[in-house]
Order: sequence, then C-alpha cells, then structure tokens
Amino acid sequence: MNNLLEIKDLHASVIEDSLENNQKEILKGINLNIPKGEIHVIMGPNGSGKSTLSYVLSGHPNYCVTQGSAIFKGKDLLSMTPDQRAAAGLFLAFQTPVELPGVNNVNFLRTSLNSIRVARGESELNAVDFLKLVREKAKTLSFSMDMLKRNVNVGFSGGEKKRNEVLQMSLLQPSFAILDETDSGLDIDALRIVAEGVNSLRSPDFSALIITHHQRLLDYIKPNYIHVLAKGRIIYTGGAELSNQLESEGYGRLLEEAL
Amino acid sequence: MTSIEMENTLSIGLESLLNRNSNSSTPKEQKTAIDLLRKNGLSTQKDEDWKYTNLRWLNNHSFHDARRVSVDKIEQWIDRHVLNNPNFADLPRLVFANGLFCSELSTALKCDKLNILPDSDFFGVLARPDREKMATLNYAMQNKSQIIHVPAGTQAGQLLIVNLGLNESNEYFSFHPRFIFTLEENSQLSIIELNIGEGNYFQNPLYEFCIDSHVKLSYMRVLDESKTAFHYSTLYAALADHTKIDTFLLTLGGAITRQEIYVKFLGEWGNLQLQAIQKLAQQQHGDLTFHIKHMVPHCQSLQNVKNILTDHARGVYQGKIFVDRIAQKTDGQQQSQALLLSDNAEIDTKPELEIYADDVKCTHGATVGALDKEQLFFLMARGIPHEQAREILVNAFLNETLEMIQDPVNSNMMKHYLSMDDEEGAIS
Repeated sequence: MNNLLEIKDLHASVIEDSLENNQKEILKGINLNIPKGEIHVIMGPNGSGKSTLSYVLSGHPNYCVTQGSAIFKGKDLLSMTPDQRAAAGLFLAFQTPVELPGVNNVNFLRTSLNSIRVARGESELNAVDFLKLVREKAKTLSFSMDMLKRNVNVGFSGGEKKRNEVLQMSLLQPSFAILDETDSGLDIDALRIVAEGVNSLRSPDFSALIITHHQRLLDYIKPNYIHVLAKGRIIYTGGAELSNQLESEGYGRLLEEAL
Repeated sequence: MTSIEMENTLSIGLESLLNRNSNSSTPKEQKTAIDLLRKNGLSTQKDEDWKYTNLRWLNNHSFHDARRVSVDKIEQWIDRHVLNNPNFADLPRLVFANGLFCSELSTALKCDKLNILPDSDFFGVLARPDREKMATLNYAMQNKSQIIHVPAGTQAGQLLIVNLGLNESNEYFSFHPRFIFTLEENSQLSIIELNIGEGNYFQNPLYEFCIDSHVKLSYMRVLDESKTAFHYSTLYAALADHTKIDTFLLTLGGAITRQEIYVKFLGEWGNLQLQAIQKLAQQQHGDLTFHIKHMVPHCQSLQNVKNILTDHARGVYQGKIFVDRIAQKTDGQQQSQALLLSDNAEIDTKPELEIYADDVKCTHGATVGALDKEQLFFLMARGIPHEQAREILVNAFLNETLEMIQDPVNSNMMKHYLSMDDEEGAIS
C-alpha cells in the first residue's frame, strides 16, 4: 500500500509548566495509516487527544513523543523541525489561529510561500506574481482585500480567522493537511467555503486528516474513513456512514465496547 | 578602597584627558570645568542617575587627542554610507571626523537657508559647566562650537550630519564636539544625524537646541558607533510656545553608550515626542536618560522607548517628568517596552514623576517580555525557519514605533538601519 503517513504506537505527553519532569501522557499508542489521496476523519469526546495528535504531528514544542514513530513520505517526521515538516508538505490548520500584531498578512503569506518554495528547491515568487496568485485564491474564499492588508488575524472574527487558515492552505498546496476543528464556530456559508477550499485540493496526491465534532462538515467533504479517538487511542474505525451513527447515538456504546 | 571610592579618585582615564588641556589661554568656562573635575571627579554609581551605568572603563585607558582624518579616507565613508543610500545622497550635509569639521565634504555650507558657523568661540547658553558631568567633561575638553542657525520663517528642509569616528591605532582617542542649534520663530528643520565609525574612540558630544515660537523640528539620531567605541552625550533643549518637536533615537552600535536628554518647556502649547529604539547584542550597554521639565501650562510630552536585547546586552531607561506648580493641563506620558531574547539580557527601567500641579495627566508604563512561543510556532508551522520567524516577531514589535514616524524619508532610514526595508510585496 502506498501510505503517505504511517503512525505506529505513538505515545506523547504534554510538557506542563515547561518542566520536563512534569509530563502528562495524552496519546497512549496511536496506530494510523493514511494512504495517498485519502481523507480521514477523527472524531471523539473532548479531551481524548485529538488536538494533541495534530500538534505532535506538526512539531509543537509543548509536546514530547515518548514512544513510537511517524513516517511521512518515507521519512522520520518526528525528527523534523516544524518548518521542515511544512516544507515536506504537511499543513496544520489551527483550531485557534494566533494573532500577529505588527505583521502584515500579505507579507506573511508571501514569506511563508517563498520559504516553502526555497526549501523545495523552487525559485521565490516575485511581488507581482505573488499578488496575482493571492488575489485569485482570496476571491474563491470570499476573502476581502482589506483582510489581506491587515495584520495577521488581528481584529478578525472567528470565521475570518478560519478562512485565513484555508487561504494559507490553498496557497501552500500541501500534500497532507490536518484540519483541527476548522469547522467549529462557522456559519453555514463559511462552512461551505471551507469545505470547498479542501475539496479544491482533492487529488490522488492530496490527503487530509480532519478533526471535527460535527457531522455537518462531512456533508460537504466525503471522507474515506472515520476514526474514533478516546483516551489517547483509536478505538474504532468505520466508513463515512459512521458519522450519522455517532450523531444519533453519541460515543457511549463505542466507549463501553472498547474499554 | 571599595570600587566606588576608587571611582572617586581621579582615574587614569580622566587624568589623561584633563592633562591635555592645561595651558593658560583656556577660556573661563573651560577652566571652571577642568577645576571641577579635578576636585570632584566624574559621576559614580553613588549618584542616583548613574546607578545602572558606570564609568569604570575610563580607568582602563589613557585617552589621546583624536587625529585628523584625511579627506580621501572620509570620502570613502561618505560614499559607502551616504552616497550609496538613496535616502541620503541628495541631502545637504555637515561632516565631522573625530570631532573635527570637514568643510571639503560639507555641502550644507552652500545651503542659503542655513547659517553654519563652524568652530565658533561661543559656548552656548543652555549647558553649564557645573551640572551634568558628561557636559562638564565636554566643557573641559572643548572650546569651539559648531553653530547651525535657521533664520525666522525659514523652511530649511533636511540636514544630514555625519559624525565619523575613525582610529586605526590600538590606543583610544577621545573627541568632544559641541553643536548649537538655534531655530528662530516660525522656522522648520529636519535633522538626520549619523554616528558611525571604526576602531577605539570615546565620543562625548554636547548638544544645545534653542527653539523659538512656532518652530517645527525633527531630529533623528542613529548611533551605530564602532563596536569598541564609547559614546556619552548630553543634549539640552529649551522650547518656546507652540513648538512641535519630533525626536527619534536609534541605538545599534557602540560598546557602552549613554544618551542624556534634558528638555524644558518654557512656552505654552509645546509638543515633544521622544521615541527611542535600542537593539543591542553581545556585551553592549545602552543607557537612555531623559528629563522633561514642564515649566508652563498646556504642553504635551511623550516618551516611548523600546529595547530589544539579546546575548548579554543591557538596556537602561531612566525617564523623568517634572511638572512645575504652574504647569496645569500638562500631558506627560512615558512608555517603556523591552523584549529580552536571551536569559542573560537585562533591562533596567526607572520611570519618575515629580508633579507639583494638580490638574495634569501624567502616565507611565513598563513591560518586559520574551517572544511569544505560540506565535513562533505558528510562523514555523507555515514553513518559516526559526531565525526568520524570530526576526518577523522582533520587527513586529518595532513596527508600532516606526509607524509613528510620519516623514517617509525618516521612516525609510530607520527601517534601513534596522534591516527592515519595505517588502516590495506590500499592498498599498
């Protein structure tokens, strides 16, 4: 099988109070393979480790891996710095995107894209070509020029911040995107825009891991598999139809069966 | 003897300085200053204003008269730092090398809107030989003034002043230039001053600004001295009514620097903005000491200081606002923000308010912090390498201050020195 990402027995802890000896294990042996071209969904109760998984895969310094491995495109993902992971094609859409006062959104987007292009051995885009590209992408996401001119996420509404994440994703053209509750807090129109942003990237070379609490996003994005994460482990895997079952029954029965 | 008592006795450095000027023809002011220093020495850490910055390094060196630099050599520096910079190339300029006036390269002499009187015997009116010690030292060592005069009603435009320190020998030079600016009523002047150099030297300039009614002055000072240079300057300004003064200090280079500024509002409705950025690394030490005296009602002063400190660098900011009993409706603000980029960097901030009027608005605030970890991770997760991500966040911290510079030439210049030249990709 042609796996893009292979996660084996992954254990990870959050480092609290920046003291290395004060660790709390959150992921307790994750096994997950994501083949090229597939979209997988992770659902699960609050506090089950969904966001931790997304942070660990993208290299957040507050988490440390204590056991297991993650192989991305045949390479050891966990030994890479966050910027190297991005250059390798991984993209994390943040659950709560940070604000960057004093950093112009367009300058940020261009620096980001050009950093990744340079790391991949491509040439940097000049200002004119970049502006053309960003205007085109912004238009399809109903992202106003005013939001491009402003500082990154400063004064943006929750929905605007999420759309800014999707704009970054569509500019950077990752081969693997993790969407951490990108749909939460969005109205129906914004939800459709985000879904279209993901669907426009769908190709045999694009995979995604979508973390969500709601079935509604899955009305727009049809996943290949849905995994249920609870207490740091994947306890159940099913097809796209699983979301309907979870929506009506909740996690209770699955949790009882698994534990 | 304790180290403080050691400082009290005449140090080797001070003695080497004073011995250079002991002939009988010295003017009265100079003689007073020499006698005072012989009797009392320079400031020590026992002096309240000198708690965070000392002069112990003076003990380690003997200071020699600065040598005159050849015009060819100065020209190379002007080519590199002025003519190569589109912001500066066409500005009228005054050039000083090791404190000595270089008329050959000073194009401002031909400017009919400015009266320039180099090497004048006039001592000035605001400074005194018996008050701030670094000014006393300037008096003791210098009996010539560089006078820049703007006549009433003249819009004099921009003036570039280049203070070059150059020393190819291993010993230390010292030079003590004195600049006197007089701006008559309704005039305007915008000064950009570059302090640049190479080698071992101690620069100890004294500045006087006599500002008449309705004057607009902008004063941008870049301190990018040689890595081994010491810079201790004192500036006095007296402001008449309806004056608008914008000052911006940028400290980048120099081993130890201290910039003292003393401003007095003497006429109503004056407005002073005093912005400063210090970006220091390694063992650098940069001190900003500002005293603003509100002697009359209805004046505004704003002090805004930002320090970005890495390695073992140390920043000092002492800001004082004095409000006289009659200076009602004074608006005095001071703000200090520091970004510490290493565990060994240090900032000492001392805000002081001394208020005798009862209807005033005076505020001060100080913050110290490190770079935000979440912001750093966000940038790196977007493919931006650690060093560059750090730089983006440091520049963001500075942008707020730079955005307050209205003149595009001044703003471009500051960005240039901070290596933040405008991205061509910005949408206008």
